[in-house]
Amino acid sequence: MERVGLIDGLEPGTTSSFRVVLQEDSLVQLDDLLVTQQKLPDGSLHRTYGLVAEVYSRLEGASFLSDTARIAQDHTMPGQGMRYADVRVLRHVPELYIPPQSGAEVFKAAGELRREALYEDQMGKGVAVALDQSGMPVMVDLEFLDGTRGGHVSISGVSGVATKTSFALHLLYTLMESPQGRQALGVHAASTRALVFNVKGEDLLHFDQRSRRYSERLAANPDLAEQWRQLGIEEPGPFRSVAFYAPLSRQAGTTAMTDVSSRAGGNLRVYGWPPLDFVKQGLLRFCFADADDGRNQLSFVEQRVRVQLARWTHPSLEHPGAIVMIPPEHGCSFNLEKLVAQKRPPRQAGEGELCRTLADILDFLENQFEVNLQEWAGNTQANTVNAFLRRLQAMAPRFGHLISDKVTSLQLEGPLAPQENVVVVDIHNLHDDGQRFVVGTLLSSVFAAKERGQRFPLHFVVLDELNKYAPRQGSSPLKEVLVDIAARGRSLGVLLIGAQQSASDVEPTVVRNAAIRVVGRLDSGESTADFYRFLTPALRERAIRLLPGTMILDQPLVPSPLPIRFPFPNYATRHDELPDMSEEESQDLFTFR
Amino acid sequence: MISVSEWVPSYGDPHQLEDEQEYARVWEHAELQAVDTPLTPRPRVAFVDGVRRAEALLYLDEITAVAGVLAAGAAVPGGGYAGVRVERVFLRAAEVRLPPQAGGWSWRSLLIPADLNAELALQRAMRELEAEIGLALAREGYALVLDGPMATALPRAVGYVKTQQRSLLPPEQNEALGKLRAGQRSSMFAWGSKHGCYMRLSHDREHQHPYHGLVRLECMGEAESCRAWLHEVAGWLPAFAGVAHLDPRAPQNLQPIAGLEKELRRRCGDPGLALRAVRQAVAQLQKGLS
Repeated sequence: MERVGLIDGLEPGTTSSFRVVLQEDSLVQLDDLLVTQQKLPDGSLHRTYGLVAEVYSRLEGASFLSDTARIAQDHTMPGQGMRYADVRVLRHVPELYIPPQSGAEVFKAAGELRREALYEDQMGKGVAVALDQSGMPVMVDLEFLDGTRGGHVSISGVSGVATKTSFALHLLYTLMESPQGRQALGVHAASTRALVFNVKGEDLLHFDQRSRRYSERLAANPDLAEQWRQLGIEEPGPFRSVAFYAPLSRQAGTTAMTDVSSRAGGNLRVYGWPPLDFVKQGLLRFCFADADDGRNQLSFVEQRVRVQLARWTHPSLEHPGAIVMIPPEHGCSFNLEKLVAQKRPPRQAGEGELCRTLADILDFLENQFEVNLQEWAGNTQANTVNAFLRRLQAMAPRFGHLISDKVTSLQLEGPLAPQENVVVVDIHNLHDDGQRFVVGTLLSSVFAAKERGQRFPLHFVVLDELNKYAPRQGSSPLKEVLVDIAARGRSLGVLLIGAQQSASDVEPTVVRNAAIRVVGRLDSGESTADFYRFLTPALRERAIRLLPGTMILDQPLVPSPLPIRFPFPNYATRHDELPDMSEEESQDLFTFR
Repeated sequence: MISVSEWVPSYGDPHQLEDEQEYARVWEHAELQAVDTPLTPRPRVAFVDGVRRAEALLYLDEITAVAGVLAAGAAVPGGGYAGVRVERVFLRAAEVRLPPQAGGWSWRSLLIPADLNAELALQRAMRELEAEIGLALAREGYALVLDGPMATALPRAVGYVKTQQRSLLPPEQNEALGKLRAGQRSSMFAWGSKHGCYMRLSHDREHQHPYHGLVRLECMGEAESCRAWLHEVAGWLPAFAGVAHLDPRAPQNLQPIAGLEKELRRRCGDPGLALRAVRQAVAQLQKGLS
C-alpha cells in the first residue's frame, strides 16, 4: 500500500472529515481516495475511507509573508515546506461513526480497498461507466438506473463545454455495447431500447459509424485504449444497432423524403403521422404543447375538438392513412377510447370530406366552425374559438407537413417497432412547436405502451433541453407526460436520461426524481441553485471551472459526488468525424438528396 | 544626546557595560579601528543553540532538585534543522530516580553537587549538550556559529556574543566602536585564550544607540588564522541579521538562531503536561515508599 502521510493531530478529525499531513515523497491530488485504519477496543479493525477535497501547501516557520523569501530564497531563516490535505469521509467499515485516529497512517485506497471505498461491494449490478481523476473505473449501480431501487439520470451543464449529450451517449454505450453492461441488463439486453432525440445539428445521426478522430486521438495518446479497457471494453466501436429517423420534408413530393443532408437516404427512415393516426392517437393535444397554452380555455376547446374529430373520422378506402370526415350517427359515443377502439370500415372519398394532410383537416375544421359551432366548441366564447383556430393555423406551417398520408406512423413499442436497439429521432430542423409535438407524441406512445406492457425490456429516453419540454412554470400535455415518466416511469421501465443547461429551469419533480445526477460545467449563477445542494461548496465552485470532458457524478449509494471523466468515443458524433468517403459513396449521398 | 535601544526592554540592555579589571589587548592595529569586510560566499554553516526550561522544583528533604528539559540542535540555512536533541533531565544531589510516565515522559538522572544552584546546573547540562552537537556537526564538515561565548576550541567555529555585559576594551577604545559602519568589523584583540573582534550587523540611524547592532565574534587558536577566519565570517554574517518586526532582539538575534530557538521550545513540549507528569511520577514514588 502506498503510504501518503499521517492524520493531523492539531485539527480535530471528525466522522465526516479529517486532515492528513502529507509526507514529502507522496503525491496526493484532488479526488484521490484514501484509507486509514484503527483498532477498536474489541481488537477488530475499523477502516475510514475518504476523498481528498483540497490539498494545501505552506512553509512552516514563516509568520510573515516576507518570511517566504527568507526561508525559500535567501535561506537565512529556518523553515520547511509542508503539504496537507483535507479529506471528506466517504465510508466507515464497519458502519461505526467514529473519527479516524489522529496520528494514524493514511494510505491510498487501491484495489479491493478502492472498491470498498466506492461502495462497489454494495452494488447489485455495478457497471463501470466512467473514470476517476486517476484513471480508475467508477461504477454506477444499474439498480439505481433500471428502476429496481431508483431510476432516471439528470445531466446538467452549460452548452458546448459540459458535454451533456456526449455523456448521455457514453452512458448508453457502456450499458448497451459493453460486455458488463449487457451482462447487467441480463436476458433483456438484446431487446433493451433507447430513444434518442437529436436536437442539435445533424450531430447524432452518425454514431453507428466509427470516428476518424478516435484513431487520430489514439495515435496521439495511446492511453486512450487503456482508458477503455478500464471500462471493460477491449475495442471501442460504434453503436451496432441504430435506426435513424428524420422528419418528412416539407418539400416532399409524392415520395417520402427528409431534409437531412449528411446521411444517405438508405440508412435514414422518414417519420410523420398519417391523419388517421393523428386523430386516433388524439395527437391534437400535442399541437398545444406550449406551456402557455395550458392556462387558458384553449385546452377545453382542444379536448372537445379532439373527440369530435374521432367521431367524424373514417379510414379512406383509396388513400391508406388518410381520413374521410362523415357526420357521426345519432348516439355515437363521446368517449375517445371507445371511439378509437371501434373498427370502422374504410369509406370512399365521395362519402364525406377527404383529409390527407393537416391542412385538409384545418380546412374541414374552419368550415365546421362556421356552420356548426355549437357542436364543435360547445358554449365557448367566440374569442376563444377564434384563438384556437388561430393557434392551429399557425401550427400548420410549422410542422403540418409531418401529418400526411405519405408516411406510416413511427411505432416505438410493440410488434411494429424498429428492430434496432437505439432509435434516433431527428428534430433539430423543426420549429419549437414541432419539436414539442414530436417529443410529446413519441413519449406518450412509449409510455402508454409500457403502461399496458411489462417493465422489461427497459426503454431509455435521451432528451436534451428538458427545460423546453418540462419548464418549471406553466403546464402542458407534454410536461404532464414527462412528469408522469419521472414519477412512474421507474416502475414501468421507461427511464429518462434528461439533460438541461440549468436544472432550476426544469419542473422540479422531473429533475428531483433522477437517482443519478451528473453535472458538467455550470454557469456561475446556476451553481448556487437549490438543485445543486448535493454538491459540496468546494465542488460547486469547481463546477464553474470544469474542463470539457470532466463531470461530477452523484449516485445514491455513494454519499459524496465524484468528479469523473470518460474516454473519447470511437463513434462519430459529428459529420466531419466520419471516415473518408470514397468517390462512389459521396456520389450516392448526392443522389439521395 | 538621546537614543533608543534596539531590543524590547524585557530582554535587558545589550550594551550595559561593566568595568573589568583586565582589558583585552588590541593587536591588529595600534589603535582600535574599523576594517571593511569582504563579500565572501558563505560556507556550509550550522547555527548551534540550545534552550532549557525548568519544569518542576522538587524537595528531597532538605535538598532541592529540579526536573527540566534541554533541547539543542542546529539550523542549517536552506536545509532545515540538524542534530536536534531533546532530553528531559532530573538533576538532584541524592540518589533518587523519577519513574517514566505514560505519554512518553522519562527523565535522565544527573547527580549534581549539593551546593550547586539547580538553575545553573540546568544551564551547564544544556551547554554540554550544545557542545556535543557542535562537535558532531564540525566532524560533518560544517562551519559553526555558536550562540554565546566560545567554551571549547573547534575548527572553523565562531562564538557569537550578542550582549556586551563585559567591557573587554579600555574605555578610550570603546569610542571607536561607535564609528563602525554596517558590515565593518573592528581590529582584532585578544584576551585569555581567545581572539575576537566587534562588528556591526546593520545600519545605524540618528535615533539609535551608538552601539546599535553591535556584536562580538570570538574564536580560539593561532592569532593570524583567527583573524582570517573572523574576517571571512564578518563578511557573510550580516545576511542573517534578525529582522526588527519579527524579533524583539533584532538585529543581534540572528534569524536562524531565532527560528531554531522557537523550534526547540516547541519540541520541548507542553510545560503544563510536563509538570503533571512529574507530579504523577512523584506520586508513584510515594506510593512505593509507603
